[in-house]
Amino acid sequence: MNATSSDDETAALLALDALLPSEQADAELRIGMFPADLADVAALLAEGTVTDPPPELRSATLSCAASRRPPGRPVDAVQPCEPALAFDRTVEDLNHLLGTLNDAEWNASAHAEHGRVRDLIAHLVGVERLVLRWLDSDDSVPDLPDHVAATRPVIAELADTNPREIARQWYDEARRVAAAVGTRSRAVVFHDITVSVDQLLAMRTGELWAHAIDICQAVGRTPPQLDPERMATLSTELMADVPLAMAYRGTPVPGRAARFVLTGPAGGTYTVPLSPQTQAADPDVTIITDAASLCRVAVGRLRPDQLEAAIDGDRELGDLVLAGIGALARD
Amino acid sequence: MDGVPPRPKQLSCPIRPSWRRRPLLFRLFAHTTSSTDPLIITALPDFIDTVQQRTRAVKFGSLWFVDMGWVARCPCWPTRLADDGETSYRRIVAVFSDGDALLLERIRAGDDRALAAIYDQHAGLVYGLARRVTRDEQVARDVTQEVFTYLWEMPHRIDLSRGSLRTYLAMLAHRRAVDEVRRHEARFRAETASAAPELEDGPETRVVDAATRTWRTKHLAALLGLLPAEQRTAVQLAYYDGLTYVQVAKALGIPEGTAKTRLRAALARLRTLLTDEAREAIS
Repeated sequence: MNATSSDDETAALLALDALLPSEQADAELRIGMFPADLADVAALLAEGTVTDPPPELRSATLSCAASRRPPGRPVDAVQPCEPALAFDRTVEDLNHLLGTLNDAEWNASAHAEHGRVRDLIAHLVGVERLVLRWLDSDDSVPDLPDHVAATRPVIAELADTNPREIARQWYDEARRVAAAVGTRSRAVVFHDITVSVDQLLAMRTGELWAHAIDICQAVGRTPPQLDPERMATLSTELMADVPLAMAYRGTPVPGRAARFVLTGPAGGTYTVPLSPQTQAADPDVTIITDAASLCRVAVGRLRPDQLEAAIDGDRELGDLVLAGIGALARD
Repeated sequence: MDGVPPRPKQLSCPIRPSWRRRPLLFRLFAHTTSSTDPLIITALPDFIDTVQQRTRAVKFGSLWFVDMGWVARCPCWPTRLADDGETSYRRIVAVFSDGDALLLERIRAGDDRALAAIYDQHAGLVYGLARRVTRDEQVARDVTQEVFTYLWEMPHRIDLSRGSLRTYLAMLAHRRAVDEVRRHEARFRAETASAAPELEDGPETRVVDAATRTWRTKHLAALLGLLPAEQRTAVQLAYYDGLTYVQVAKALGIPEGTAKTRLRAALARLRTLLTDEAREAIS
């Protein structure tokens, strides 16, 4: 028997699990896995044995599986970092990016509302100042519901300033924000939304990431990715904020719920109510998508209709939910 | 399934009635550079086609999923294509499998409902195979739990490019069941000896009995019937009874080399029969 037919024979015996136990490991080492079509043949043989399992075996099997790996978290899950750390790292990343820009790039058009890269960073100077005042619970800070309009005076103030000096000012203000966090569970009014400090920092992380994307696109560089820990922070906060986002957008759906199956290491499975102050019910729709892509929708850097998602169940409701995901984004 | 012609196993798509109102996602063996480009279908040898129309595409990793609502109207096998049925769609249907990759993505993401869905689709196969090989209901239950728990814990171990999830689960269940048989061989054999004379009836009898349930088993029985008797018996002893080729040789009173040759020839013949049918299905 030549080597090839011997290998074929070994492959067939492997597919049937008919080798001696003492021969199996050697055989697998020698020929690797047997061909896929032999697996199909073996599986076809199995079709002749199909039998309804005992009804109680279903719940026993699912419970056994859940006891070995709790549902909800990805198999390769990363631990979300604290929102304060996520904000801190994102400040450093953006600062590094700004340090690499040349004069022409500072003047590249980067944002429909704010304008050039330098104006975008001036806008961020204004945002950090506002956040500092909100974090200090300064009652004199007026409600400024329009995130864009609120920083226009700062953009005007810095119009003649060297862009690298604007970057330095932004970085200093951002460092002060990071230092002023204090008790993270306390409520903060962020424009017209009352959130916890952790929620605020997660939103700000998203905003800085979004603007880093703007800048990179403006100067022809690859848009930055957040590390999985930060992405997990954003996706976790995002899921917690879905009811608020739906209400903020004016489209709460009391009594109904959506199930998100977010893939990737920053993902997980979440069932969320579609209205504040309600418990998650049985989901009416399941949305399966990549966690990082959904975060891009949440920060307004991907339109919901561009999201590659599988929607199972009430599709109209799914579309409504995806349309509301970005409601809390501040640009 | 009346009126549905028998098809190769991997081309079937069991759909529960409750899914019929929902959009169905079918895995295409496809690649494309962007979601707006036509898909190039390369699933079967010598087969290339282009999808010109689709409603929504989803990409996970290197796989695209195309949502074709019209398939839902005729989920098992579209003997009648929908309004926009074209030759290209007929061919596409010939190369899809059900949403295994999507289910695996959901498992990876911790979606226990996906595990429940997979259980509902395949538990009959896993349990039935384990029970057939071990001939012990309790061990079959244990094997079934192990197989689905392993899938839940280690979804990244599954390589769908080597076959469908059902094929993988069958492989895993068989391996575990055979391990159990060999681990407790003396006990199992003793029980077998005192139990119904199944070897006298032959697995084929039970296969033929079970074939009334689905076209798959009918199809299997027909294919087994095309094997020479000595090959069929050898493969039945090895696969359904979990015997090694040495044990098969002893049971049949033939040299070990002959047992090996018969097993190899039986699988090769079944493979050829399946390939011929697949070609016929898309021609």
